[in-house]
Amino acid sequence: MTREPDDQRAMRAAQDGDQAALAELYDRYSPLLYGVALRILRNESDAEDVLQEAWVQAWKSRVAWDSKRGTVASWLVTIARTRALDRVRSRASRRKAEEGLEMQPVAPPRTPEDEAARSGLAMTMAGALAALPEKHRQCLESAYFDGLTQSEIAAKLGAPLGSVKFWMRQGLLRLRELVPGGGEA
Amino acid sequence: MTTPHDELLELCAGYVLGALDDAERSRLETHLEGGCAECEAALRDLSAGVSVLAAASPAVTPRAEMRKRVLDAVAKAAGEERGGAGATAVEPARGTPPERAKVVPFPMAATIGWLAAAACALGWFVQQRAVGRLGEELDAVRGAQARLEQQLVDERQWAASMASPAAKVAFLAATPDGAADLKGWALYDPSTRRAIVVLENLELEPGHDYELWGLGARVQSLGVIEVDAGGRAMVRLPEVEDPADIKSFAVSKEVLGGSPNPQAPSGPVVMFGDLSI
Repeated sequence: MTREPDDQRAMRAAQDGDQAALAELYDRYSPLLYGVALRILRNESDAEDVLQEAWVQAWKSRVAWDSKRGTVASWLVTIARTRALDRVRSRASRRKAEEGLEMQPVAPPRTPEDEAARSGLAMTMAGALAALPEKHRQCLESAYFDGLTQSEIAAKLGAPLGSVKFWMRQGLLRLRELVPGGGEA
Repeated sequence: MTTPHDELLELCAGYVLGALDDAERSRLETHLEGGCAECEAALRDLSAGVSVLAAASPAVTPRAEMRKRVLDAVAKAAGEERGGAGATAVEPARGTPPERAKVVPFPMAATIGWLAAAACALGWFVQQRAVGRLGEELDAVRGAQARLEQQLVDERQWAASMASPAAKVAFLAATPDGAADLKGWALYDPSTRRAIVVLENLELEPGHDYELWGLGARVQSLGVIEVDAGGRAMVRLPEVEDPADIKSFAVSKEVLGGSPNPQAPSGPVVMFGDLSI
């Protein structure tokens, strides 16, 4: 079920300078943004920093949001994902400099409410992703959550670049078919 | 033969995923600046898939303290935007605001002891009532917790089914008797006998219901489908009767309440799909 009309109303109020409207969006989308950041960073402290940075950036660049270019949710997720991937890259270069310090991946902490929240739409999304052929899913996850380029994914999978491009395109279109309108929520 | 424009279209998926290298990205962006309806449509279609990808990752509630931390940072940014240093938080801190110290005039001070004693007595009664109320609330919370834990167990079982290597998928499409835009998919795990079916664009008509069927050596009704106002339905089947029997799923359009015969549709079959091997 889409919340886009409510989101657009809140976003327009935020564009007019209403901080409480941004707080409303925070309450609605922070679990999604924090979940994406945790999935990418695998570290709670970094994910919390990214969550804060993402909302501050959303506030600062709120006038740039345009309903014709996508939903509020996808705009917010893109900001959080980009900040998280930037942090992964800077962490990787810092680690190269420091050498040998392995980041310990942590399992994202889940509350019963989080688990329950996976019912319905989120389960549908996860099911759609699970229904993709393995190579398609690997390509999408490597690009989206690990920030790898198509060339890097081809090297990682030992597959021709052309195949990776094809799998990526087919995978995205298949997800769209499997969950029509699902990503707008 | 691949044309230069086909190559640009191929880049669109990598672009929406942020997976192009710099040279490819600027090549596509230069092309888009010139205006290309075909590439713009491809980007929109592919972006919808990206949104599904994001929403498939588990939502995790941040620590409660994060709300204040984030909103304070936003308030600070808003203050800097206005050029003033006096940024204020979006919401006041929860709880009682600290009171300013008051100077009590001498005549009032004489009554303070009596007031304190009265307050203590009143406090005792209030406390007794609060204890009773808290007990009731605690029982309610325990009940809610038990329900939530049961829900959690159920959800974990469903998640395990969906990730099961034995799970099979069927893509359901419209038959000649169904509207062309009908679509859906079913995921069926024979090891747990659970199935999830998602259907789209089911048109609600007064006096009619849609019914789900499992087809194999025999035909079995899997129940009447509840369709929402948007024409969408998600059916969870916790225990499919005969797991070895199902090779395909079908949807029929029936009279209210479904087919009178649980072994065969009485109305037209509008959707059909075979399970993958």
